[in-house]
Amino acid sequence: MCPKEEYLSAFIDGEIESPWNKKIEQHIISCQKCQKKLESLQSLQHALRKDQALDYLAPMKRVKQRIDFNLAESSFKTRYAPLTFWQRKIAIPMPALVMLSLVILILVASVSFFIGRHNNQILQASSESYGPQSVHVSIPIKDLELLLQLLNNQDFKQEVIMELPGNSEFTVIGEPIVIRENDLNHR
Amino acid sequence: MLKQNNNEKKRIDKEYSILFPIIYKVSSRITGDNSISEDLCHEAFIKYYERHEPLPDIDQVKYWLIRVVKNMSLNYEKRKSREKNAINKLEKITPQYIGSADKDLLKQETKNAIQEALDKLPYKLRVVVVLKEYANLNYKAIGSILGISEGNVKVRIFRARERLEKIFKEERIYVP
Repeated sequence: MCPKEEYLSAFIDGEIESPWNKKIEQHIISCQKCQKKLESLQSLQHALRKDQALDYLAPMKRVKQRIDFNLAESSFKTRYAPLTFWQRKIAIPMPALVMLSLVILILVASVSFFIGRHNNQILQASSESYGPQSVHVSIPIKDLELLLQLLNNQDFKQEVIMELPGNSEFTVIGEPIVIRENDLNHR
Repeated sequence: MLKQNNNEKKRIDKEYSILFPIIYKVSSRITGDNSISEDLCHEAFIKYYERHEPLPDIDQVKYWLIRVVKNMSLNYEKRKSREKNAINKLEKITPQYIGSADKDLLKQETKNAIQEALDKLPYKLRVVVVLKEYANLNYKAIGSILGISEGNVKVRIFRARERLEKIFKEERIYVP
């Protein structure tokens, strides 16, 4: 079966992909009709391409003179001098820009979060007896163990009120230490 | 700095001498008018020199210039057809004056057979076959310049060739 003439036209332009161009080549050998069509397409192409004898030298010179005149008028001088650093533009692909802004956002958020946490590191504990005396103890949060040791101490038999800083925020990291509360309640 | 400028100027001159023939051929084959084509080329190159962002290589410059010249020749085409319509209308009103003057002007233009045949093609078919044969572009590049698919380029080139064959046959122009 003959290929569409459209494909023969693409064939002479070398625009038919690998397995198919060989098939067309083989077909043309055995088919006179396609051979004739191909020859006619090729001779047309040849005629068009041969017609390149357009005299471009004189126009080329004239246009060059006009361009040079325009350039000399100084408004286009920038083309001859490379752009300074500040005049240059850069192109960033949209996805990269989004990623970059996300990374910056996350960075800023996490930094401010940690700063916020470290501001409230002091836990205030005040122990009051029934009597008039009261003891205020300020313990850094890092030293919760110390506080627990203090409370576990058998000599420390007063009622204890623990006050947290008003603006404290808690996150659970690792094994919760507050589980010991049970023990404290049994006292 | 001065040396760098000289080198830059040399590069621009070399670029011009390689690209002008292609751009000129393309625009004169599309418009069918050498002096119009000269103006279009001048405008296209000035537009290119006004650009601040450099293009990565000479091929990109070629595509850019061809795209600009193609757009300008399309504008010229539209203007020409509007003027033609206006002349036709005037001819109907005052046939004895305008008609003869127009014909004299046409007679002055001596064109070769190939250009006459190309002029007879509709713009859409002419532009693809010109980009193929005179700018030596592949279907992909032609498609991206015209904003159409490769398949569409293939069909248009084939139709343009068929029309040209027909025109040559009708006018008994010998194609070697």
